[in-house]
Amino acid sequence: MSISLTLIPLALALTVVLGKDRTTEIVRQKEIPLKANLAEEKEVIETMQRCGFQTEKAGSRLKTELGDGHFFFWEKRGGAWHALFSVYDPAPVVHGFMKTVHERAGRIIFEDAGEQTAVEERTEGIEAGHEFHGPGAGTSGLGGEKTASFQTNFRDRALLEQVLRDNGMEPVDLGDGNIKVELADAALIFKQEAPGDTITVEISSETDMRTIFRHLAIVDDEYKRYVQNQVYEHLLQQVEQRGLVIEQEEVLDDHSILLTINLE
Amino acid sequence: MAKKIQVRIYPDGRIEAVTKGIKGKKCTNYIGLIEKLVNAETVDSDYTEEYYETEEVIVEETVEAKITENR
Repeated sequence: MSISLTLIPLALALTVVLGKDRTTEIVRQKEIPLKANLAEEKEVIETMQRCGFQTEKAGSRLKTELGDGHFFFWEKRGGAWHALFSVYDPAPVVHGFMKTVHERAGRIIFEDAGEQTAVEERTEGIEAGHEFHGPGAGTSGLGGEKTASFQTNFRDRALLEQVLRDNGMEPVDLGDGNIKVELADAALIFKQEAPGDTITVEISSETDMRTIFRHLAIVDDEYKRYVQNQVYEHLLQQVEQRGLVIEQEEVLDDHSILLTINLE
Repeated sequence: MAKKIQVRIYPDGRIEAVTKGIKGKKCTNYIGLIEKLVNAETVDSDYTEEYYETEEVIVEETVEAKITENR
């Protein structure tokens, strides 16, 4: 080895490399992760479905439907699967879900009493003794119009439009370089002052932001996955054009693509 | 060792690239190529052991050739 470089694709904001992933940071500030006693992805899906909660893959995460429009994501952190609730989730919904899971699974799934307390302290509308029966039950979210604006990790507008379309969100060109997306009861406007600039998103929502943040987290994950694929395809093209040879290629456990290119 | 570039493309889009078999400052000549290969810009770099090595120079043969020439 002689020189080691860290590079950022032109389609991604620099904050990704600096570890200040803005979208993820904002989402995580609102999160309440609950560590589960479930080792593998398959076990999460099977356990949730056995308890009556439909669970499926959503990008790099799992998504569990709680009914009545409520849902949450699972993410593997530090080798353990965590259920990601948010400060906007009504406490009765979360408590009811956990109680139902423990009863139907026949064992304790969420062990940490401290994390459960965090749910109680940070969510609103605490009601004792609420039992969640599965799809069809639930409570309403917070009211009041809210507006938020923040920078994203996106720099390639065309790629962002593709990701939005592929995820069931139809982007509308506003004609001023901005894109609008209707999501649930919210309007998202993606703004880019000049090509290549970091795109910001302005969100206006009549209800709480949790659903919007979660969808944005999925878009963020998908966008980065598309960037990875785009970089890979570009690299293959360049290698061929320059008459170079790919000596070795493999996909690693963390889904990185590792290529060795012979220059001679 | 043959001259190579090892590129790792992470699922979050970050890229790491390492040159192999290229000793000394010549490795920096490949930064531009790497950026073009992956359509990205360098945000951080680190010189590794090989950077501080020099390529072998066959001094003995060179000197002998000069001596022979001067005779």
